[in-house]
Amino acid sequence: MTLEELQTLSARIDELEDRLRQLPKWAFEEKEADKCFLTIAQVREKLDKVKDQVITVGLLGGTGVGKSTIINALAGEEISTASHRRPHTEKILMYHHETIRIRDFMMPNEAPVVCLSHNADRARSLILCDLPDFDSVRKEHRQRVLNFLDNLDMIVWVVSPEKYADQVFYDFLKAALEKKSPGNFYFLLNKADLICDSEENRTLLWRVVENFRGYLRDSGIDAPIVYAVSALEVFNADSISSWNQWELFEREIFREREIKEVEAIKEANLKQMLDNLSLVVTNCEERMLPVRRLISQLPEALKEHKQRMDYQVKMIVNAWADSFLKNADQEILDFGTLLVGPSRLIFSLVEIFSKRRQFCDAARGTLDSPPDISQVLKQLSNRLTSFVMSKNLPAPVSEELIRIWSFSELSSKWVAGVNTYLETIKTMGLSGLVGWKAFIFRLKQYLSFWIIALVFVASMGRIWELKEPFSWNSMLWAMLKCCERMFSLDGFGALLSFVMIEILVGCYFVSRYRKFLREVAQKFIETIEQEIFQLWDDFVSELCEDIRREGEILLAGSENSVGEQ
Amino acid sequence: MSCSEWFPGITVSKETFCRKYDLFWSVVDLKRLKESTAVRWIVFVGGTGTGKSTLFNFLCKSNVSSTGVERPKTGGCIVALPERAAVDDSFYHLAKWGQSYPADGTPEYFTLAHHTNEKFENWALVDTPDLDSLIESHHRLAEKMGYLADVVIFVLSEEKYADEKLVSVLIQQFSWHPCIVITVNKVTDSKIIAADVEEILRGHGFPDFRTKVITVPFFSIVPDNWCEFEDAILKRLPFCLQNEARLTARFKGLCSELLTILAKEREVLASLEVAITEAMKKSFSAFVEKHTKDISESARSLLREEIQRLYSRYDIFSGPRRFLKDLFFAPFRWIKKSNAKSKEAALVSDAKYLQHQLIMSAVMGSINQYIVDVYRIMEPYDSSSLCKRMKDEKLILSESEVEEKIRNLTERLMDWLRGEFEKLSKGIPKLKEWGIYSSMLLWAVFLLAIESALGGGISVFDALLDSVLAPVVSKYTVEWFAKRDIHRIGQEFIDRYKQGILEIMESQRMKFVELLKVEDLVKMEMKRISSVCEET
Ligand SMILES: Nc1nc2c(ncn2[C@@H]2O[C@H](COP(=O)(O)OP(=O)(O)OP(=O)(O)O)[C@@H](O)[C@H]2O)c(=O)[nH]1
Ligand SMILES: Nc1nc2c(ncn2[C@@H]2O[C@H](COP(=O)(O)OP(=O)(O)OP(=O)(O)O)[C@@H](O)[C@H]2O)c(=O)[nH]1
Ligand SMILES: [Mg+2]
Ligand SMILES: [Mg+2]
Repeated sequence: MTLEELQTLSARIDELEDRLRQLPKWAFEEKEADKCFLTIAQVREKLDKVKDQVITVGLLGGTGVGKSTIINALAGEEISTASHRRPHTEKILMYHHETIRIRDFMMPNEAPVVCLSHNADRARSLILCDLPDFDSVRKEHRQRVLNFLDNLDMIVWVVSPEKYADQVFYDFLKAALEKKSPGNFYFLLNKADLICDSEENRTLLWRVVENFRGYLRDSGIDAPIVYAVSALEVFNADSISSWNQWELFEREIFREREIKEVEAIKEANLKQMLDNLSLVVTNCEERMLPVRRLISQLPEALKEHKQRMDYQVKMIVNAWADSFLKNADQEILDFGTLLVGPSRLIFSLVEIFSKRRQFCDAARGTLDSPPDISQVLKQLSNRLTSFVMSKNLPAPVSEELIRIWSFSELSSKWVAGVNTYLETIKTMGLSGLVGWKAFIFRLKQYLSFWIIALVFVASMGRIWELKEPFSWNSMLWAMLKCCERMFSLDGFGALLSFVMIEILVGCYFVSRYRKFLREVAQKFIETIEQEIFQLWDDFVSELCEDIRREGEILLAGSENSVGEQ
Repeated sequence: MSCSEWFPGITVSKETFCRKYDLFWSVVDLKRLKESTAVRWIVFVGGTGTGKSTLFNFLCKSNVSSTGVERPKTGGCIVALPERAAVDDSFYHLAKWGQSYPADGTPEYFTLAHHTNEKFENWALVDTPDLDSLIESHHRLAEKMGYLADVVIFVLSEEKYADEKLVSVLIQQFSWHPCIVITVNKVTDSKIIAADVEEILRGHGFPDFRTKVITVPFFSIVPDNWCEFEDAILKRLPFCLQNEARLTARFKGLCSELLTILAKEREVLASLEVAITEAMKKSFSAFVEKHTKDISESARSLLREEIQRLYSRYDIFSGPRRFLKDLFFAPFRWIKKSNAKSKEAALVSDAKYLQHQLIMSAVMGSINQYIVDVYRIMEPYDSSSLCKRMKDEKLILSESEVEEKIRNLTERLMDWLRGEFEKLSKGIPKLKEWGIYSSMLLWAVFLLAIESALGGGISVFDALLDSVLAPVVSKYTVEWFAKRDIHRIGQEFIDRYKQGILEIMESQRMKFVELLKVEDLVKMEMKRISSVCEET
């Protein structure tokens, strides 16, 4: 393998690892994440050893198909016992050249291993392995074989005429395809002598082989290499029948392999592992798609409801503000000190009638309790919750999402926001007329009242009737006349209308003043309303932001939770 | 209707149940088939290539079932009847004579044949497909034969006797059988192998090792006639005649298994329906509690307006009152908030819209609450297909649908109101009419009295008094008389309103409950099954 190829391979590993790390924990199935990271580690390790010139070949098959017999035939001596009792082989036998140090080529695993060395040069760079079965009642055998798969570069699958259609075989083949390239598989139909008991039955044998090939193709092996052999015949060193393809098989196994070819074998296995891993990763990534889609949809869904919620909030805030205004109106009347004379009198009367005192505390209370939009929030929470729940997302995701807008979460957030705002408002308070404006207002009142009083007195005294020039005498006379008129029926009417006019003017000032105060309060409450609306807008957009942020967290890889194994 | 269509799959998965269900019905069919002949059945089961067909042919004394090197070979059940067996017509619904022999068999029907073995003249011999090949339908075909076989010949071979798959099928599906003959074929060392098999079976808890394993030696060339096996089987047969009860018990076991699953399913469905209905009631009462005040307020103000309009025909002072009011207030405009009225008028349409929005979102809110509640109810059954269907978004009433419904509701209510008013306007009792008139008369007299006391026309104060008090008094007289009607109509209006809202929520509930309607099918199916079971 050239350096370039090595680099592309390790780049691929890095890329896959990157993608794995970007996956959140929930995107994996149970234990899948650990398995994936383990595979990455294994591939890395194997990549380091890809330069080793040794190939490990394993014999895999059900019990009694003749694996031990085959390895004996390959070795030319009885290195593994064969038996007619089932299952027989329990330990893994590794048969290797004496120049090879086995430990270098083994991944650590618990399977019991027996090593046997030889000095046959034709198998200098091969390690032949006889394995236990994978289909017997001894289930631990199956586990041993599975664990040992990591050590194998090439697999010789062994079947017999009785077992070549067994479901277990194809199940196991599928499991092996996760780690091994089908290019490194050989298939042996052993015990062919049972079918070809005579030379003319040869077509029968080919029928079986064809049949077997068909099944293999159906399990995803495009061009299976199948040899029909009889290991017993070979081992017993009888003359080998013409249908027995043992020699072909043996030659293929012991063939002198170029460095490149050996590397290609290992590389193919690594690629197979990576292909499978990337399939798994893609699968996981696909599991994220609906979540991603949902999270991008949520702000939209939220906005859709916002319009309606806005109306509701408006109504609630309006009602809240009204109650405030009603109370504030009373409270503000404390500024009544600006009123003088008759207007003061009228004001006091109004005050008594409206029993102002009762309302003062209530007004303060309004600011203490923010507008109660819990109904809106509850609806929002339910809406989003049902929206998410109907999507059938993985449990941790929907739980997390639902938590963000659980009613308690929403309302506590809202209440906190509004309360801090109202706190600042409270310190501001209201301001009435101050400075020269207050002065002018008062001046206006004094002037109007006194002018009316003077006009009254003047008209009573008929000042215009004083023809002679000013003298104390005439002044006194006028006064007396005034008094005299006052106590007449005429004067009484005038006095009444004087009082009436004063009251009317007083009313005018009170109403002016009230109107002014009302406007102040109105303005005040309007700004509060607007501010609360603004708060509501901010609240919704913050919720959108929260969703986005939570989505990011959910979709982000959980590097700390699945560490390297 | 196929099982997967109606089975809700809440407590057990659809696949598990349907497998059992299909098994049940085919066993029922088989039972009928078997009962239509007066023979007992010897059934061969085992792994592919173990030599079932070969042994079957031994006993038949002719090549009825094909044997060969292709695995799996036999693809269906082959029944070899003794030549003189009487067969009902119904038999032929399920079985057909083979086209040619040896036959492979097909999964669609039973292939019929005759066997010529006199020693088995009261026995039908049945060859079945394998239990372990990669064609899975074969396994099921073979397994169900266990329910009917009077004798099961479980065939193993030297190569396969330790296969996990075969042993587990033997233990799980056949170990209960009162008359099972375990046969190991192609044996080279019969003593050791028989001991091995017995040990393995004992190790797997094969219940009381009633029978010894029969071994069949490996022949280099399969002989045409070979008696030892036949004799061994014949020796067992006398002990296999009295097991009808066990077979029936096994079948009944299957029955009750199915029935318990269905009963549980029904129970859950029923409890779900109750829970879903309860949840609706809960959210409706929450709705009522929260929004009745809103609704009744808006309803009452609406009513008051309408009714007052109606009664104002009887308010004789309304004309002069307005005139006086306008006259009097013209110079005083500046005291009143001048723009307040027009602002209010603008607000009215706005307020109506808001009112609609308020109701709409309140209804939407409680529907959403309801949906969340239903989803939570369904949570324990999350993996079932029923739950998936429940969570379909299309099931949820959309906002436009709800809006439409509410509009319908208000229209309906308005129609009703109009009708009610019509009735009112027609049928105001004379007494009431006089009541209204007389109280107004009183007021008029009172006013006149004040005028005459003061003498000299109506003063400013009188005008003020009149314009302030008269509308109030007159208004309240009218209202006092209308009050009872307002109260009655208002109450009914609100009740109708609530009823309408309840109907909207009810339509949502129906959508959910509709999905639970499979319960009837389940009930029917239960009846069907239990009637079949009682027959036997
Ligand atoms: N006729 C025939 N018998 C064979 C052949 N190869 C092996 N056998 C027989 O098959 C039986 C089982 O052989 P083993 O080699 O022990 O089989 P195995 O695959 O190692 O079995 P386990 O160790 O249990 O997994 C023995 O009795 C062998 O004699 C063959 O080519 N032809
Ligand atoms: N040599 C030899 N071959 C046998 C013996 N018993 C069975 N066979 C062979 O085993 C193969 C399979 O036999 P079948 O009877 O077709 O096996 P089966 O159990 O019916 O298999 P399926 O129909 O696939 O389930 C055939 O080729 C038989 O010739 C035996 O005692 N000696
Ligand atoms: Mg072995
Ligand atoms: Mg067969």
